[in-house]
Amino acid sequence: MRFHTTRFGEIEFPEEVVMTFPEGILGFPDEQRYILLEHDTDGSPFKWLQSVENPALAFIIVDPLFIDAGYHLEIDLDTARMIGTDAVEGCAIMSIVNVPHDAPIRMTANLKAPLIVNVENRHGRQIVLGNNAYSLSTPIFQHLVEAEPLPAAAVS
Amino acid sequence: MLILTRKSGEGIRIGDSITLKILEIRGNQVRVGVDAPRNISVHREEIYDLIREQNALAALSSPDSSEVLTSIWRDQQSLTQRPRNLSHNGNGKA
Repeated sequence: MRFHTTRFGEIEFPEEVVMTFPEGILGFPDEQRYILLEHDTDGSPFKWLQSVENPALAFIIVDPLFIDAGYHLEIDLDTARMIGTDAVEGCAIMSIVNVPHDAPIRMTANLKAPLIVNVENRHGRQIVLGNNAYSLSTPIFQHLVEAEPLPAAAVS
Repeated sequence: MLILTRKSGEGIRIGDSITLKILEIRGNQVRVGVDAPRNISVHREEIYDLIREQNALAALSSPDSSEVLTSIWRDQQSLTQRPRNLSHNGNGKA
């Protein structure tokens, strides 16, 4: 399949890599089909979730385990029925990343409302976790933000 | 907006498939039960609004390319690989 995207130009991909979010992503009910695009850097934890219905719509996503090694969630009954599994091990979990224009280093990830995709049938949903420990805007590079400016921080 | 007065234990039906039930009223808190088909997601309004807002912000602010992310990622790599002359806890990987 081919699709012309705003950021990446023409992309070509097999139908079987398309993920379907039957409800869309919250606030974007009209876009239900997405594919994952890798970043071109080796080892970067970031990927793009590109809509294959809306050329301009793409989210940056990150594995929440990259931010919080203890991150865990459970799949509720409704979600299990929608995506066809209640086994977290068979799912890909992604957090949407928010990159502020003026200060990209202060980028945050949404750990409160992750995307969960059954890797078997590639059906997904954005779920909202009841766990209050998870924030909608968790800083990703807190230590980088704190580390600037570098020398002054070490003095006192 | 349609406004209805309900007592504890009474309900409201929306269409054929959605029922709201007032379960308990205590002070300024009301417990509401929602029966809705599985394909309709139910959220607390303020949380729903926040997530929608966050998603919209993320979609709008997505950089035009990966360059910004790549450079931040490199900085992060070099920072964690820099020798740690301040910490002596022995678990520095550099």
